[in-house]
Amino acid sequence: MKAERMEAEKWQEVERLYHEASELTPPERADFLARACAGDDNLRREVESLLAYETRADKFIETSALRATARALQAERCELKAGQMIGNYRVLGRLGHGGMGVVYKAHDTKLGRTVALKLLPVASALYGDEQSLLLREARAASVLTHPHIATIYEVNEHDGIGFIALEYVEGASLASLPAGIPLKTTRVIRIGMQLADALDEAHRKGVVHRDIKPANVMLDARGQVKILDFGIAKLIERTTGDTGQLPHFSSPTVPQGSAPYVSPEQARGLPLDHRTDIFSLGVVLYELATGRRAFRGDTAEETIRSVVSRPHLAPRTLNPDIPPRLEAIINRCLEKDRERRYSDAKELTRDLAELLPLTDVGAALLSKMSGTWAIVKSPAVHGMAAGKSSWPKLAAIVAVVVLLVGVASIALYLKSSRETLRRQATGNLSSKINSLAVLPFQTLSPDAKDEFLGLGLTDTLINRLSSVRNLNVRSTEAVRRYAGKGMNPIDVGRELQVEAVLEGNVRKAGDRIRLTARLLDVRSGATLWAGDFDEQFTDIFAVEDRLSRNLTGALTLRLSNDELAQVEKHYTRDAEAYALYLNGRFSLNRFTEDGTKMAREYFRKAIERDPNYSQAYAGLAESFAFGEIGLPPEQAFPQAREAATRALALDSSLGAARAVLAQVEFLDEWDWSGAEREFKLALALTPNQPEIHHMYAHYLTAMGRLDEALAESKRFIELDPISPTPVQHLGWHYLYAHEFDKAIEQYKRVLVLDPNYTEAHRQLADAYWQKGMHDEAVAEMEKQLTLQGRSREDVVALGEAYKLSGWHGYWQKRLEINFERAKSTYIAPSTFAECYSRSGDHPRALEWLEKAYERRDHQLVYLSMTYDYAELRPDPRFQNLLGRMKLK
Amino acid sequence: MTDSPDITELLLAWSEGDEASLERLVPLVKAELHRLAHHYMQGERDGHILQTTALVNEAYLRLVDASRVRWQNRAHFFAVTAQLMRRVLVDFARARDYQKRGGGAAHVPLMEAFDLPHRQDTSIVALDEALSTLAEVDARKARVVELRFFGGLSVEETAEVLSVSVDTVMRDWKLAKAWLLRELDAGGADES
Repeated sequence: MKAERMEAEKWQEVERLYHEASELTPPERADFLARACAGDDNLRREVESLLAYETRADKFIETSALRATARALQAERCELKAGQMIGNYRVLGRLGHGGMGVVYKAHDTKLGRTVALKLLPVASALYGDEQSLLLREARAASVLTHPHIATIYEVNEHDGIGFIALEYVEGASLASLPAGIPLKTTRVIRIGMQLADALDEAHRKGVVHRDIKPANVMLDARGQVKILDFGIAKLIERTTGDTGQLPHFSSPTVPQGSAPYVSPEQARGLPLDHRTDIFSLGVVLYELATGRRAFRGDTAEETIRSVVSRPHLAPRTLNPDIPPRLEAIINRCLEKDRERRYSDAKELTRDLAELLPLTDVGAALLSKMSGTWAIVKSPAVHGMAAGKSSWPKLAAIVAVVVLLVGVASIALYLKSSRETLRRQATGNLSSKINSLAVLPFQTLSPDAKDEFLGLGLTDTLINRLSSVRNLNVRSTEAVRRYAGKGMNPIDVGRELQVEAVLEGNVRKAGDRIRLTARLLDVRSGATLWAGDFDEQFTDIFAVEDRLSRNLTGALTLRLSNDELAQVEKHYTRDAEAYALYLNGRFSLNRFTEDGTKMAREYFRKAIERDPNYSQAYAGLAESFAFGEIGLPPEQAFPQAREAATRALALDSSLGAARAVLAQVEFLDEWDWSGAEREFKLALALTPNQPEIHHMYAHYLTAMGRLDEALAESKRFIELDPISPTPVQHLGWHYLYAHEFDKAIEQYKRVLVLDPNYTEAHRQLADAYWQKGMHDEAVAEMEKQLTLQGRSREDVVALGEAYKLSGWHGYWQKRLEINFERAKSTYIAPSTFAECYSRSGDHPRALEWLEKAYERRDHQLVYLSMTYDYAELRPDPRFQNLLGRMKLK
Repeated sequence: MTDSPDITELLLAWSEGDEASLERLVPLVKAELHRLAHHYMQGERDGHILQTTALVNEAYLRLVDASRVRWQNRAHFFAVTAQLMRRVLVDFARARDYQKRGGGAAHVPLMEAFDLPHRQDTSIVALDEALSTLAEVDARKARVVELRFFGGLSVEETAEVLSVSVDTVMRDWKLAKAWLLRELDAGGADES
């Protein structure tokens, strides 16, 4: 009895705290609960775990059970008949039954084309809003335009039935290939490349497929494949709250026929990221190359068990014709631990492409020389239409050759520009080392949860060394792409244009940590230093100190006292807090919204353990200000400021926290002198962080200090020579410097490197416009909008508006479209101001500039420098606005 | 509509303590649900997609003729209806799940078949179980959910049935939903 009463009392307490905490903002909650639960960890955990469900609970069971049941019934039984209309579509017949319901062939009566029409099921009876959730997700997937992804034309509702209209693809799915017969290696590679390239595009847009399987891949007569069903891909969870909740799955079971292709993490019901698709693609490639499924079982349960726990048979044991390198690629896709898989589909595409010249192009060329097409004429063993005509094949080979030539010329271009840069950077050739890349330490621990150690330690070391004025250290962003690649460090050093590289590995076993590292001279290949440390994990700080000291010694750097203090500084003495911090850095460096969210949690936990952990506050601040924040700026920036201020109160020498403050004051608070002060402090503390130079260049441009801005932009390129962003940034600089010819030249350069850089197309259009080249501008904007996945109808309508009523007409149409879009998505007021101004409606443009001012639209910081509003400039109201913003 | 069986009559009887009337009620309600659904499927042949809202409204009208209930009984009647709906709909969901899995032997959800943490099951069946667990922790909150979700009652009606304030219902509702979601995520059962 007594125990029961205590239970009841405790529950009441939970209830009271829950309601009080839910009135507070998430950051306030932590403090509130820490105080209110004073020491009672159980109580606190209980309340926190309930709060974590707050957002999801909003939509949960809000629709009554009867209605939910009726909906489910309705969706299940819903069957369309030929001739029936759904919106603009006339149903022609049934195509089949997909994982998500019935698919129909239909005719788009408005645009006169054939489409595949999918009706959306009601996936869960308890989420009344499931339908609209699915619609929203499908809409997000419809941003994908790629030659190997079936395009989503429309996602809509008709009479309460959600549907997706998508590209109708002729051909057969890979699932219809005869079982047991392996495909030729070249075909496996070609199909693999197309699929991997499509996945890469989708993943970069934040869309994960989650159900890659042969039935979802269509193969046409030309050997081209298209991935279907990106419409049901769940977006990587984008909830805005940062309560650290796990993504939820609206579909509780694996779709029919998918079991052999699920990833181990999917089978376990763990949160998924893009690597689940890489695994599934690996299973598909395995099957194509060997003719057998990688994971089998008599029942779905058994199959899944095999995915989770059994190793697959080596592909070459089933088909000895498979080249060892292809086997290695497939094996890497099929790693059960996703950290050991390809980290992205781009790398997979590249590896497959490297195989192609050997097996395909080279052989084809050879055979061509000997006058036969033996290899090109692919035997029609697989009973598919592909290969029946050699013309498409020939075209494909020509395309590959052209591609290779293109790649080679880009490489040459890069090489020459790099060499110029290196000469600039080093000046004279002395043996002294001025630049260093710390390559991501490999984690050798058996325990996957130690994964963070390698990259976390690397990042810390980079940050420490960044404070050394005479040493150019490549940023974590620049080096992280080499993690786990097993590339020759000297090659990487050359690619990163540094004189020395540090490589190493770290192993944690029990409570001991072992770190091995060596420093190599990139120019001579000589080992400058090598070391091996083996300590208790609690002594990790000593290991780091010795490593830094050895390094700076080997690099013959003479450090000032200040620099020395920075290099050897420890921000905490608590090894566990430090491990949490390293985990945070590791997550932050994934540069995904998910990663950022997890990083916040780790930093908060680190702060919980050591409330004076300034660096953890700085990390928290960064997670609200840079990269994939995943929050609207008005929510993120105040939190960024708060965390940065706390960090600096504890330790005023934290460059990263200063940079956060600078960004907040510049973009959000419009405190120009404050921003300048913070930028300068940040740069003094961490002189070699490329991103700070980038931000500062933006600031200087906004302030009209173009010469200084140019110097910063060039510094940005020097510090990060291989990413496209700095190259693109220079184009932006010329645009705002009103040097339009130079801008055009620069953007063309970017687009050679990356033809799909949407922002570069947009800005190139502006540069053309300023040169009076309206046709070219419209053409660029068309490319940009298409790449962004905007509907074909909009793009066509804009082209017509331009033809009919010229530049002004074009922008009037853009306005219409933007107003329509604004119903479902946030569009900054400055965008409307620009459109009005460009369409010649100056009074409205002014009106919208005022709105932008009220909403603190970040774009306004460039108001005095922008090439827009040329005709508005003399208007006293415009001048008055500039005055209020202190931009005169 | 007049030809519908005496559901309201039976409900009243049951609410007044006649347990036997429940036995007769359940199949009637089920048949009615099926009939309504079927009725609307037919309409679809003419090129109309059926309207969920209409279906639901009619179901309520047919099932629960509130005008025949004496005013004093209202609260009690609502509570009983909610309980009945819970029973019927959970049975209905269970049967449908069974059918969907082919009605065969091994219809254990995929993830429960072996020792792995399984995903949340968002079915009505799982919710029903979670709700029973909640009733052990906090009976009133469980009733709020039963009345709102299964009974389809508004916040005000729920407050009336339970003789508490609207504000209390809102707070109970909010916390109960979070609690249930957490329970569903944990896979139920292991809550002590």
